[in-house]
Amino acid sequence: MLSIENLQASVDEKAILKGLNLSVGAGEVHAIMGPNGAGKSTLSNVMGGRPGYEATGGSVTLDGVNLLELEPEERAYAGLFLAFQYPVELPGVSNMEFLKAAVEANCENRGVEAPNTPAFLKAAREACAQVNLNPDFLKRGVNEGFSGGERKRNEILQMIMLQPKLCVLDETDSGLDIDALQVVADGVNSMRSDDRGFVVITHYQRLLDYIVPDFVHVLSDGKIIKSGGSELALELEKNGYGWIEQEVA
Amino acid sequence: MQDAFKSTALAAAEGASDAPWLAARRTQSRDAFSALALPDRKVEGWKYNDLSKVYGEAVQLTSASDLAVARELAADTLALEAPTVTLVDGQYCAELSRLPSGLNATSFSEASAEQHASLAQSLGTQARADGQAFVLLNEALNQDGVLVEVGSGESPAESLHILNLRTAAGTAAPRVWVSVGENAQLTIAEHHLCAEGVASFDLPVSELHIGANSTVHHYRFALSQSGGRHIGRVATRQERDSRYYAYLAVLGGDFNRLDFGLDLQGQHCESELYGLYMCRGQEHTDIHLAVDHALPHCDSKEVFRGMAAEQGKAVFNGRIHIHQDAQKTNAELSNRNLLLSRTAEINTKPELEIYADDVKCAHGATVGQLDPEALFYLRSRGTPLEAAQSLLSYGFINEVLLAMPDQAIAGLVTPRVDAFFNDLEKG
Ligand SMILES: Nc1ncnc2c1ncn2[C@@H]1O[C@H](COP(=O)(O)OP(=O)(O)OP(=O)(O)O)[C@@H](O)[C@H]1O
Ligand SMILES: [Mg+2]
Repeated sequence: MLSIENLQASVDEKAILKGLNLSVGAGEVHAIMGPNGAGKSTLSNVMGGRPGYEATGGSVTLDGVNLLELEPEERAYAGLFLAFQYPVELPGVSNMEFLKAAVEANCENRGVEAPNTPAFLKAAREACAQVNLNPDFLKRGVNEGFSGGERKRNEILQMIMLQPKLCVLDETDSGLDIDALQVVADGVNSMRSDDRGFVVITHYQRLLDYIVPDFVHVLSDGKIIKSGGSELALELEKNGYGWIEQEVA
Repeated sequence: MQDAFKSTALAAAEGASDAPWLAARRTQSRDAFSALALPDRKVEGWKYNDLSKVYGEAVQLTSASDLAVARELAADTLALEAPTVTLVDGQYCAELSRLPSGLNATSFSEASAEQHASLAQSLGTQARADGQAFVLLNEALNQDGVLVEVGSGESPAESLHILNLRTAAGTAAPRVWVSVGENAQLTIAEHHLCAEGVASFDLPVSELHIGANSTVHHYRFALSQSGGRHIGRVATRQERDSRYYAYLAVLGGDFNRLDFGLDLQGQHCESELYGLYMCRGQEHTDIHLAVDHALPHCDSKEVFRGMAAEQGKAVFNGRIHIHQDAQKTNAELSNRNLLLSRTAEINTKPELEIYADDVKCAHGATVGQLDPEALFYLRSRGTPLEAAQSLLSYGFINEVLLAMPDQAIAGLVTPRVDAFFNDLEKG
């Protein structure tokens, strides 16, 4: 479903992604691990079309649609969802209003009927329960004054509400206590299905105990330098990245 | 231009109220106004104001009001079914007033001789600081006003609304005097509303005196559908242990200037001022705030949010003066502004004057555009660019709307905020 070919990207004229290849099939979960500064967040930002993160070469296609040519909102309509490493605050914009606007825009552009207000409210409250956030959070400003863990759970809540095809989670597990980690993992697992793919960026094997990946990739210096099954994560946890970087060099 | 303005103003003063209890004051103010140099750009506090919009037109008291238009303007406020005193183009309008039962409020024209005597003593004692030209002009031109008296220990359950409606071109100079005794409570809302396309010139002045240990919530909205010039003054004085919360909104109108003065003349006062102002087209809004901490142990907080689109121009000046005796003062001022176009302009200046040494003072003033990170976040969730822009802009203003404890009253501003954004989207 997702196919990334020879992707290159620069930030501030510095090459960060240097010919990255990755292919994710429907129903698969891929984990990406790699040292700090390797380009993991850059990959998700380029996929999402964040200003300042332009691809300089290669392609990213989702079910045949070239994402790189689309506006950020159109990428969402195509089925992409990014859970950010550092979700921003939107003061004064209520979570409910924000979710409603997003759900309606996605439905309209994907050609499905938007839920009516009671149905939407019900779904929003259920999603809150699923990520263990008090429904009062729906009334608050988006991420306004949320703790780090609450922001991450709010990302998963949005993912549940928007029903994307491909979910990219950038370090959603970082900074979470063990209960919140369980909540995030349950959220992801509940959404696993044959027609949905996941790319999970993480530094910690412990997340992968909860979300068992089909493939694990090592991203270093802007490229995927090694891929394997879930056992690769255990090996990385034990031995770090040095041995692979040497093996490749 | 100033000379012509002044001579028409003095001529117009001949047609102002002929109430004998006011006569001495009126003559005094008219003479003072006549002797005073009118402000222009060379005066620091007026340097961003294009006063040609004001001086360019003759002063003439409005004579022909349109009651049908007034009724329409008043509808949303009257629908709240709260006590309301209404002035139409500066004159008391019984038909659109609902006089309160448990609350002592009256127009000047209907007030008792005793009330007139006390008004003659008190009017101007707070607002006339520095002999402000437009306050003097208000006094020279005043035709009617609203007197509100809340006795000690009283706390009327209903909020009181004052409607100042503009339905026809010309000048009006309404006046409000609010006196709240000790251990009392009051919620008061002043609405200065100008109908579409009316070339009005409004010079309202309000004075509030808040007695010891009393609480006042004061809403003051200046909303014009389009056109109109408004030079307003509010002067509030707080006695010890009192609490004062003000919520200001200025939207629409060719030229708006508001001088808001808060005088903390007792210990342990608490004050919070919230305000929003939004300009577009050729509109101009200038808010000048002056908070005076005279005595120790008072807390004041000001939160102002401004927005300018198209060729709109806004000015915010927040002056906090902490006098030598005002030890243990806590003063906080936040003014954030959003520019929605390259041709819009906002000038903001916090002015702190601190003469006491043991005080906590924080201030921040910013002018910026919408946060691109926040925009991207919204778009990544599927919200189209324009909708994302209006959600964020609305959120920015919403901080002030949400601070208003009476959401029914806040609801009188929201449609105007919505209209501002809708009109922008339509271009
Ligand atoms: N906006 C930016 N401005 C300047 N440099 C940037 C920017 N974004 C990323 N970079 C640089 O690109 C490189 C890759 O950063 P990226 O955030 O993609 O790493 P990462 O693999 O996600 O690291 P981490 O594990 O620490 O999250 C780093 O050298 C980083 O400093
Ligand atoms: Mg990262």
